[in-house]
Amino acid sequence: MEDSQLLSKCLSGHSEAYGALVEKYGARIVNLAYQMIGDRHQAEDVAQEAFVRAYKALPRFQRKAKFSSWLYQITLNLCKDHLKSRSRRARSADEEHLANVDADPRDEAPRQIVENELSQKMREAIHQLPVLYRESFVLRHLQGLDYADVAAITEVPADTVRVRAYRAREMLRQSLAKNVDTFWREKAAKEKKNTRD
Amino acid sequence: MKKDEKKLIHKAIDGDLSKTETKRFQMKIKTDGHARAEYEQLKQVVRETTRIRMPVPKDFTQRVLDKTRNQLPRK
Repeated sequence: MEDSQLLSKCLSGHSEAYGALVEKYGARIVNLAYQMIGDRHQAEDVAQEAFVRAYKALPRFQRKAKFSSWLYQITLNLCKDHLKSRSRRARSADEEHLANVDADPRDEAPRQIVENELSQKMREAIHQLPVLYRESFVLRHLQGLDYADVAAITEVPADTVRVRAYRAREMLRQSLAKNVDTFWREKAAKEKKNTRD
Repeated sequence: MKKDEKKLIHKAIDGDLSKTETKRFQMKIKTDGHARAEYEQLKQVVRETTRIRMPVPKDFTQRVLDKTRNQLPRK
């Protein structure tokens, strides 16, 4: 069923139709929050809150916009609020907490975060990016949106989004060049060895 | 590397090159090892970052619906 049909059902009191929208966009929204915030527990909370806020605000949703773009906007605003309040807290206490949360092995096994050592370094590097650069990079490359959609979501001209993504890539390349080169050299060597064996 | 050459590499990453630019770009990475290395690094950075994702908890939809159950959209 199309988004517009599901939205009409929601607005006429069939709240279960909202479940279909959550199913459809859940992965994208949870991952957008994760890619922006870098902590999976907080990302889940933010994503959940985004869906709840969107539900409450459905009557104000302008049908000429895409529902997904509107949902992205709500999520990004929540992420930015979250990042602001997090940066207000003492940095050292926060880092210690994040390290503990992410290092909990009981939690790791069932969730199976899809990342290796290099991805971990990349995740850290992404979170060093200025928020506006990160936002453009994440929407363009991690969410796979085109620049026109990113521009509509972030409400800045497409050229600005382009420049932000460019700068983000350049910053990431500079901070990760050594890791990337080492990783690919080691991977190539391993593959060569496996072929020989 | 010149600024416009750097821009050309980023345009290639975005898949936004025109025909003329594609020729210029191909010539550049063929003849300039530094440009080729930067292009490869950028491609790898973009490719690897797409792996940064997490699975959605199985009960996620249910949790959202539980929270919205008794709340009608506000008019």
